[in-house]
Amino acid sequence: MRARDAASSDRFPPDVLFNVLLRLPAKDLCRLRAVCRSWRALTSGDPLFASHGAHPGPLFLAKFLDDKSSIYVVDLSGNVLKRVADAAGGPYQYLLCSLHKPEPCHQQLFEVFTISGGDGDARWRGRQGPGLFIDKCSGVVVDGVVYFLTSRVYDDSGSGIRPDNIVSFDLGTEEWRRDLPGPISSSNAADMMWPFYLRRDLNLAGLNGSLVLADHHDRRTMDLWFLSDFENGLWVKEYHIQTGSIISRWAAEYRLKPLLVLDDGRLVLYLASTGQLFICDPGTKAFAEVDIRRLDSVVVYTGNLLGLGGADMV
Amino acid sequence: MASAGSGDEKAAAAAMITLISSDNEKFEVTEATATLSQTIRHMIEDGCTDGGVPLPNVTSKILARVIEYCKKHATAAAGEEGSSSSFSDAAFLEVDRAFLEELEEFDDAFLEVDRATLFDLILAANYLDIKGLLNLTCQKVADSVKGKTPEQIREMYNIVNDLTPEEEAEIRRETQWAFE
Repeated sequence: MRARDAASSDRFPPDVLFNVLLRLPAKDLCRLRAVCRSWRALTSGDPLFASHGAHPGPLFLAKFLDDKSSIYVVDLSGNVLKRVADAAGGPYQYLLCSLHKPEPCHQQLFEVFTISGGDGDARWRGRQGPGLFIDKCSGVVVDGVVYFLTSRVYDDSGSGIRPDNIVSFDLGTEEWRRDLPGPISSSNAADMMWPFYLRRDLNLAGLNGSLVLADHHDRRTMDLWFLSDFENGLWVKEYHIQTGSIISRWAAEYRLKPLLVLDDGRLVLYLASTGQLFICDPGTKAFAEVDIRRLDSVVVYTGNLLGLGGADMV
Repeated sequence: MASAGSGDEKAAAAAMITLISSDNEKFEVTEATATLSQTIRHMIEDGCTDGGVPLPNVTSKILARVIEYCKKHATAAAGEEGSSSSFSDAAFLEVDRAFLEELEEFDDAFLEVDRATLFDLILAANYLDIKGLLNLTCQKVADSVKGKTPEQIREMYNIVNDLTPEEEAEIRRETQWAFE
């Protein structure tokens, strides 16, 4: 206890300062780093991060259509809480191209990059491919494993490779795992008639810690299949939602990505074709649009508002 | 409330605790007042309050203020508990509201102190683990800092900027969003 050292002086005793800082919003805290060295130390330390109340509700990293030069942290009320970095530099650049970098040509290159706190060892390392072409935009990381859909080049080619075939790479062991058959091909063979992609749009997502295959059918319904058991290839359909009210039947492009399951079971969905965020209540089947500027891209933000970087993007 | 004991119930509630400040001044308070401090509550539970509770980190001047706060808030808490059975709902709400208003006025007046006293109160509230008092005093300081620039804060609190210009520029670059 340092009370006696500091008593009856109008200088900020550290214990006082710490208690005061806990009651300030993240924006003020970041600005206070520039006051002096001891304030910088206190506002940058783990104890404050651990004690400081987290922002209520989920956060997202977003880039806006009308301002592609910056990345922001936003909440579901549409509030912009923080600018993380200029898109041209800062921590974002290597996060965006981290982990995997397949090339869309006759041959795909696979490389792994480890971000190890800047000890000079950071380099792209080549890795053998999975033996199949993958859909380069489909990567999603769940629990240390990157999952990809196989490429659409197999569609209608008679190769026997199903469109919902999933390949995965374990980031811990840096090895490819065996192919995982998707839920559609295993449950409904007749529905896999080629050409599949004329009527279906598949997306992978990580929700509630599970790999999820979102099967968007004919612009009108979306099934969310949660992988419950990798070894036995068990999938559980946990959501079946009607999307006709937010996607025009005539929309040429309509990629709809599930982003997050809220605590009450509602789904946060991103409609990439229009840059809109929606919250879907599976009980009432109603969609509520999040009041926010049109988005260029968005992911769930897992970092701390007080930190400088830290987000998972693939 | 303050009248002499009437009945066993009051007598039990009026068990007295002696608090001893760093400059050896003794303060007699009721257990209800003293137990707003979690630190003292634990000492009472452990049965180590005989002969008084020494508080070597708190001066008599600050302890007097802390006790003033605890007395007021202990009374308010007791009033809320005690009144519920003897009033109708509407009357109870009315009394409740009056209590809260009075308490708010008390708190506002309580905070009218110089900065050194405010800091000492925060340290005492932290040491004695009095949540309400810690919240009240820290929020007052937090409000004075909110929205201010680093320059304004240095000036307000006589803080010497010991960051090099390069370090300060780097902080501003890293957290530019916070300055907009």
